[in-house]
Amino acid sequence: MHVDGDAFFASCEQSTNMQWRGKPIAVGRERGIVTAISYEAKALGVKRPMSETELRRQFPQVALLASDYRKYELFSERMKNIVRRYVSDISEGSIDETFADVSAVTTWHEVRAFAEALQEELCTKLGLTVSIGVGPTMTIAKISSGFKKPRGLTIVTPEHLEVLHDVPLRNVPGIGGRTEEKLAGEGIVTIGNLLVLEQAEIARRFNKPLVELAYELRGTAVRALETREGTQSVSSIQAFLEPIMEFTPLLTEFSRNVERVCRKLRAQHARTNAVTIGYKAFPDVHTLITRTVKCPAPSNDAGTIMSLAETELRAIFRRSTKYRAVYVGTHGALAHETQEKLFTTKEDEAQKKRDTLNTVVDSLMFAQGGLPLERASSLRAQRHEEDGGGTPLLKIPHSHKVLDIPYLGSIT
Amino acid sequence: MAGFGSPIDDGRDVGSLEAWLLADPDATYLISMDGDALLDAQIAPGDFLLTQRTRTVRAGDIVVAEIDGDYVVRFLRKNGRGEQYLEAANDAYPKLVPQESLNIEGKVIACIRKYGSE
Repeated sequence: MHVDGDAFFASCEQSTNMQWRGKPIAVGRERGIVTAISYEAKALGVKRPMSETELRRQFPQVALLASDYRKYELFSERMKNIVRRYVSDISEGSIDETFADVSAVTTWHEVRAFAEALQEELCTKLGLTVSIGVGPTMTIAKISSGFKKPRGLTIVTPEHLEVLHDVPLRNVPGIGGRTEEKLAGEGIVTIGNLLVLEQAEIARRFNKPLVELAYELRGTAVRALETREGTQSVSSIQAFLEPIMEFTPLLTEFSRNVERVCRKLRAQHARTNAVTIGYKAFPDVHTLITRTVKCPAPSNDAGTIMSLAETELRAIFRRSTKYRAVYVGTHGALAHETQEKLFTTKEDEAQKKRDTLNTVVDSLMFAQGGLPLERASSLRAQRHEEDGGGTPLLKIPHSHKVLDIPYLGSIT
Repeated sequence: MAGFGSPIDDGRDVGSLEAWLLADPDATYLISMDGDALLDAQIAPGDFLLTQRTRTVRAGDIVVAEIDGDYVVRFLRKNGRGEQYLEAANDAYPKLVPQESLNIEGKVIACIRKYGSE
């Protein structure tokens, strides 16, 4: 099953500011471009991307808000929590979607009622709409959720896979522009065109991802959910609104994730022995590609982990790849506060100095609510402005933190 | 699909204030009271209201609702014919009877008033 938020960012804004219900709005003001639009704005003809200037000229009635990732993450978490109450096997997907393996909790016979009830609950509790697609594989479920929007429910059973045959391959997740062109050159434009070929012939003529995709489209699952493992691990994933193609901005986003993970580790008085870094990139945006690096010694210091991870990231970075998300997580069991060693080495002393610095940084950030300190490389990603036009999350006084409950503004 | 245990039922015999306040944390939102329409119900301007988005609201609940295009927080009432209307807790405010639409956004489940600026 694939649960997909409808016009997710714009819907989060409409959910938290009731005055904007049913009104045309767009998101992306902080970058001067429209990156997300509500259905009402889409109906007027607003396209994305579109520059702020062009939007103001052509559609002066459309409000342009700054995007607020923390808010969207809260809604995303809530969406996933609600699904997780019924299905234990879920995959994080990107910020506005969730994959769930419902085979253990329902049958093909009952799945419509199950999906309808889940959709109703999600829409009520989140104050926005989602579309649901159900199919025998992740790929089919994802294609199905896009069939009817907003608030659509499409079920493709293994017996009726032919309903997919007219779908153009360009609408299939995992098919990039180049693959699409290449296939079109051979007269293969729709799913049906691809599937008339024997699997063996596809294997002979095309690469492995396409072979796997063809299996998926025939209803044989090749891709498995990446479920979260172990309660002990700490991780952070950041999806981007617009794909990132340059190394420096990617590293910036990445470094924020490292900061977040290390902060969580320090809060638990834990250190990690190894870190897994990873990314999701177009066209196969629901596969997390990862590498694991061993730390020379258990660590929770962002500087140490960042330098290890940066080398690794540099090694896997490919020019002209469109990156969709970056991931950092601990690998293996965590080491909890070790006892003082009897004999300390030079490295131990250096480590101790870093620990002291981190303790100071953490206490500045958490206790006094002082300036939000971040590594210099994290600074560029700070683009949540206070007066973006949306209903901001509520600030906790004397702190740079915001409350983790969406704020709906004031009411009379 | 209802009937799942609340997050309070995690097998431990000590629950947090947060778990008690937020019976359904994934459906609970914060809204702030502007104005004195609910003053007689001890809800003052500046108070924070925890609002749960739910389908199950009853007459007598304090609700956040859209009535004929305006959003307000009021008591939900029913007249003798079973028709819903909204009522303030302050004589200075009129009863609100929907002419075209009445949509319930959520139910107010708690009122938070923080003293000082801490």
